[in-house]
Amino acid sequence: MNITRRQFLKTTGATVAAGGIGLSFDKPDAHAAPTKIADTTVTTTICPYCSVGCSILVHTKNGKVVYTEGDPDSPINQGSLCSKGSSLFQLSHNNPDRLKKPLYRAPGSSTWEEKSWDWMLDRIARNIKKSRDESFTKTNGKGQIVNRTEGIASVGSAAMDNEECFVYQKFLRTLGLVYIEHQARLCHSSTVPALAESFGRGAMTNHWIDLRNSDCILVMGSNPAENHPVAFKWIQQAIDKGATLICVDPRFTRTAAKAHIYAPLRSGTDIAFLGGMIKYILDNNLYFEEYVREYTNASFLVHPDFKLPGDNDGVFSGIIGTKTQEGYVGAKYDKTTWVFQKNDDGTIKKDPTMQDPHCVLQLLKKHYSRYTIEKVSDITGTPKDKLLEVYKAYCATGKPDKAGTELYAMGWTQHTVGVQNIRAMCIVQLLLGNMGIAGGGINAMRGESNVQGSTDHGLLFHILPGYLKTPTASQATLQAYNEANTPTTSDPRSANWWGNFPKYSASLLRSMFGLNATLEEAYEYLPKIDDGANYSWLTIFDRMYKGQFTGFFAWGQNPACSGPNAHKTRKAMAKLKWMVNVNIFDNETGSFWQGPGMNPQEIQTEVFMLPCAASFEKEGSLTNSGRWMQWRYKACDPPGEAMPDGEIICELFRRVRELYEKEGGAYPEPILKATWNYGSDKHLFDAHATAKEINGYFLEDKEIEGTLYKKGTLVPSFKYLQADGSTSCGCWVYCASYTEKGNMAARRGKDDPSGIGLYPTWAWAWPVNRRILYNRASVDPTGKPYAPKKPVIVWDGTTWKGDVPDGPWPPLASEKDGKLPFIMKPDGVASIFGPGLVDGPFPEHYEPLECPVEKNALSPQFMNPIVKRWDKDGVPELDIRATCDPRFPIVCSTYRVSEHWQTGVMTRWTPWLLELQPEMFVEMSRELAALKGIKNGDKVMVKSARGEVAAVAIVTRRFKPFTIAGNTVHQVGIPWHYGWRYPDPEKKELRSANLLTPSIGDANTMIPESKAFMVDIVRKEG
Amino acid sequence: MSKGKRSDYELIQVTSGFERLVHFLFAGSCVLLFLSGFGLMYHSMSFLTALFGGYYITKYVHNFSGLLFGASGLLAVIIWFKDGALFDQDDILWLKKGGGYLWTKEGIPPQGRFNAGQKLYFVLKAVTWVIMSVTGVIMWFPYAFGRSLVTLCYPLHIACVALLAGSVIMHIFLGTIGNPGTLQAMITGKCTRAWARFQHPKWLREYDEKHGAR
Amino acid sequence: MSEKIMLVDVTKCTACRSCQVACKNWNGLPADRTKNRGSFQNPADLNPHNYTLIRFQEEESGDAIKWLFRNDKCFHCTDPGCMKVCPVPGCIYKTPQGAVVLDSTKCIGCKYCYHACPFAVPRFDAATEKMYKCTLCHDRLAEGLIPACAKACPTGAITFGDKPAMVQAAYARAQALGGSATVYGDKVVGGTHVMYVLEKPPAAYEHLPVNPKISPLVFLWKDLFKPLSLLSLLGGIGGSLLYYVIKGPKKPKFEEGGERHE
Repeated sequence: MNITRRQFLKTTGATVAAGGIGLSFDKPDAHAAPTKIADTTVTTTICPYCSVGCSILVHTKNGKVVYTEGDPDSPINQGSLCSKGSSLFQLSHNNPDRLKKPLYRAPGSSTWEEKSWDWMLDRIARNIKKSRDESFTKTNGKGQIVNRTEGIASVGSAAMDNEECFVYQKFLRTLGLVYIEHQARLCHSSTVPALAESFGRGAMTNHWIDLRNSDCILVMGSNPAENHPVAFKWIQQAIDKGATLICVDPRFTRTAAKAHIYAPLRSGTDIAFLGGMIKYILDNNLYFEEYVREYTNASFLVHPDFKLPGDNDGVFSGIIGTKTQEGYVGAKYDKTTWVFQKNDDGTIKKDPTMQDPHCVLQLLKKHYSRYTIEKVSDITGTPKDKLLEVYKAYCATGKPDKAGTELYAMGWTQHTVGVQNIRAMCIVQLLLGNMGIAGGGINAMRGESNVQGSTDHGLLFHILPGYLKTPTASQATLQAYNEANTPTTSDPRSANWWGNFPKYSASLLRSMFGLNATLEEAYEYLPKIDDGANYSWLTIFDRMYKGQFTGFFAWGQNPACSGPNAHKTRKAMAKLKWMVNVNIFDNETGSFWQGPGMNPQEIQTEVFMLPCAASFEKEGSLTNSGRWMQWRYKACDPPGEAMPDGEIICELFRRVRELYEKEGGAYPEPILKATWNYGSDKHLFDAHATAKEINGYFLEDKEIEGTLYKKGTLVPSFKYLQADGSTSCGCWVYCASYTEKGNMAARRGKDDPSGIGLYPTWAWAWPVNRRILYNRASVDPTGKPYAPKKPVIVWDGTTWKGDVPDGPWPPLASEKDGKLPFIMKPDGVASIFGPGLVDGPFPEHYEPLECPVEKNALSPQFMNPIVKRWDKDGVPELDIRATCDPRFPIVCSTYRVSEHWQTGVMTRWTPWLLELQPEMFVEMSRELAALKGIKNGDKVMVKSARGEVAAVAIVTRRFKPFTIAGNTVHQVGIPWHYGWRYPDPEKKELRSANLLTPSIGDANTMIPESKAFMVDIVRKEG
Repeated sequence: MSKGKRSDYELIQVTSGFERLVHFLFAGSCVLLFLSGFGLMYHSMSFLTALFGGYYITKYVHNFSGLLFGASGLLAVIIWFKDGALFDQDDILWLKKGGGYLWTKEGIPPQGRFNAGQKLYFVLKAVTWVIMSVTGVIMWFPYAFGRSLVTLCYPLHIACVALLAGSVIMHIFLGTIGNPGTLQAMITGKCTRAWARFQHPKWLREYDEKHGAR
Repeated sequence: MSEKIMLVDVTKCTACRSCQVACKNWNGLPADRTKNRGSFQNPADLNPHNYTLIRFQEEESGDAIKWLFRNDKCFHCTDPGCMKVCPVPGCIYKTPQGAVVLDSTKCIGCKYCYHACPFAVPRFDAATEKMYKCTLCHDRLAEGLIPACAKACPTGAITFGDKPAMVQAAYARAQALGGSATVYGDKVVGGTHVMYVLEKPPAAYEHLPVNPKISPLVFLWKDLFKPLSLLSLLGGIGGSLLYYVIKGPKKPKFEEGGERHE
């Protein structure tokens, strides 16, 4: 929105005054000239970097950006920003390196050529049609209908607005793509199943401002001071009110510098650490008994034949696979014994006393009884007294009115046991009763401005928008699909909200094909994946290397630097026939053919580099990590001929459709029947029209509960969506974001009647503007808040007051219609025992793919038995593993710094940020440096089995050697923000951390294990 | 006129051309340094910096005049060392009696080429020349030296100004209206015998001996 | 306009460097090519393109590691050494809120200010021959805005407000922190308008003078020898004229009717 300068000054002054700093506005300083923002036009935008979602004011004059600064009106950042947000000015047209014209690289060429948009788009459309027609398959090997193309893959983008993400996935799926991935796979794909299995939904449960309500903040698996700097505003406020900050990290970070307690641990041993914490809670009876009994499955009785790893060679019962020297490898589980015992009436057998040896709580106790302090310390390298200090401080939040929260990010997600890392904390939080309360929750901190939104809108192979699972080949009809995905419950107190699945799938199909097809026909148009097959990132680049893709979209992403085993990725791209790279700067991916070690003459890939608009050069919404959907505005035109992604997507779709209309081809129906009403004649892409589509419409007059909703009315919330095809909705969790009342995401209400920082009228949160998820667990069964000083919802006898309740039904104890708090779980309770995951219902410590020890100290099972072993199935000369190998004796982890972001594809090109952190570096302990003869500031090479990079050595006290089972183990860390393309591209220097990381991923999601692998460091001569 | 008698008004050579050149180069640089220096020292004297065309140029004038000051000063010290640096008994007595400038008018001892006052002035100028030049260079390129050293130079430099300002004025006064007949010695290089006999009789004797005077 | 204080509470700083970038953004300062010298601190020091800098300092006591962060910039002294020595009128001046502004356009690059500053803050740019330093965003203050760094700081490490309230807040915070936390700035060089709450005594922080003062040599220079110079000049002129009027020129006796030699 445009703000007048007067309003702006007023609000700035008011905000400053509200901070208790009275400013007077007397005679101005006679010496001062009028400032550069004296007569600018001001628009608001949301920062394009991390996922805190800070609001930024963009000042323009004559259509040019002259200044950017924090928006004082936003309750999230209150006018402040981190170094990246503060540098936004340098991303605009003020940066001479911004791509302004489409660039084309012909096969075998060593240069870019400028081309017109028409030429580029026509040629890309032609390539798409050719690749699609050549690779389209109607049926798979089993004869099942799949209607898909496996010849084209796409990655990208968490940088696009929600509306752009929606039309992009629509574009790709109408084409029949199944290999659809983006940043979310690499960063938080393990979060979704871990949290969904535990609580029902896969997103950050609380939100940023809520951190201030916490009594104890555990930072483990993340570094918020450096990677979500403005979130530290809220952490600091909690500390000011007496909260304890605990930081557990292999390295003493900028977060550790502010923490009351710091405990080091070896990368890849988080489950051991947390297992010890679970044992501590149970041994000392620190769990919140009523909460655990009523709101979790702790009292449920498990199948009597279920076996724990302690009794079963380190694996759970039901393992199918071959056993090797290091235990099972590439196995699977038969989950027959992972089920609950049932009563005769079909209800689950429970023991409310939680003493039965088969009940979940007793199994939990037995499982973690092996995680003694001594064992944990041996595995993690954390001194015993530190372990106890952390456990004692954190587990004190088990009291009903105490709130403990956990902040994690890649430190937990990016492991072969990523999902289980997170599950371990979910169990801790459930035992302590910290879910659903203010200052509690599991705060999965996402890392890109709209990675939450891009995930919500289904830019991953396994989900459609709204987390509806991608249909599989065995689900031949819509009915079969619905049945497979609609859970049932035997408990009348369970709301089982996913029971509404068919309403959401029908509405989604309508949003794809409107009334151009019946629901069944629309379902058939959707591409199907094979049952049990994996189409994720690691699979894509393995197939690409093997020459199985002809075309590839790297849309707003830089896979040459962002995925593991970057040499494999880069070589794979050389096998493509064509690549479309959309970005605001040239980068390692679009220019892969002229990178180090590449011979352009031998590379036949056609590359189309399309210049796109930056975040503030277009209008649309994005969703931060706290699920707040915020609207942002266009400040100015993009430079040169750059275009917003939405326009480009619409142009491509239009041209592909025209080709199919004129020429026919393989299965053109989905393309021809797809509805595409996102703009007007002037503009193919209208963010508002798309946002409304995502919210959904009534497609015919419908009467619901006595009210008539006329055709064309926006659906007020997902409660009103229908399974009969009378409603259309692009993404059911976003239903209620754009209604007849208006664009909820654009709201700027600054009131907070709750007093706990909910700000219910600032923007809009999914689902239905609920700010704290699972808040029905913040009250006892009668509806009284457990923490009366920080109530989230309160039952006043007839309704709930406070936050939007997580289900409007009366409290649990009500005779009529009382419901359990975890409404997205079929049983209505949270899962301490989580059988839905492929590698175990309880987390168990396993070592990473590459580690410094020969054996797993806990069991004979060395690694996670279920992970796909690319070192056995991939590309032998590239997918190399070196574990407990004297050539690579040092543990390495990758991480980030405040001043850069992801692969550096925007921040390296920002001079102010590059000045702060100019070069690739490796941090190491003074002990290791002395061993290697390395001095602070020396140039070194960091090598792994897969590659090597040049770095500057930072010799620091903040890394210390670990003692692991009596042996000294060294660890180092490297940022992954650097690459050869900038600065100094002519040097062709190898700098990307992912050149070192292995191709291996989590068992459930295949998120790469970038956080623990083995390297060596050598001082560079000369 | 009697033969063999020298006329009081005969003009004799007292200073060489080189001496006068050095003097006015040195004096000229001093004047520029004083004008620019005071302009830079006192905000109220901005009319001085305006003379040169502003503060930025004034600094350059001061710095480069300083170079001239250093070079010509070196020559000055060399060429006048013999005359200016060596004190004898007559000089001491002359000083005690205020050189005849003050209350005492009788018994003023005869003086050489430089009287004791001029010798004192020479010493003062020589010493301050060293201090001003060295501190000046250090102040011009302060980052080549240590912070404490540079900070020491500032008061030293201005202390010399305090010493010099008054004495230079006095030198000009005494060299012009204060002692008639003196100025031409520095302009034309000549003086009258009368002046020489009055002001610098010991030098006149040497001069006559040298030139075979009677 | 009332006197203001910028309070830097180092205990809340997470070294995100928003202050460094926000300052450059507001002042339109370019970035320089830097090197990693084995530290996150970059650039290495304050310079003409970086008016503020986060200093990183690692230390250990026993097995407790500490990583201290300090936002460094001009202290905006009440008795500024730089203003005392600057030769150019109007180049360095104080505003009623306490900002000490160095107007670089007027600067002639003499570098006196660097030497007179108890904190050695002003920085010389050889390309422009001028000195540069933090202006406390006096142009923003004139419009009723707060300095760019204070606005950008997410955690409240840098706050800005009326002097009495800020000084009180500083002491309250130091007391709440306990240990060896101290307040720094109000008791030196007449009181600085950029103050610190430090978690350790000032001596523990690199490049932070424990007892900053303008060097006595500067006082000698400006308060003794400078007036003496003028006195000397005027005295010389006055004295000479007076002498001439009273005693007249020094002439030989014979000209007054004394002996003559032909």
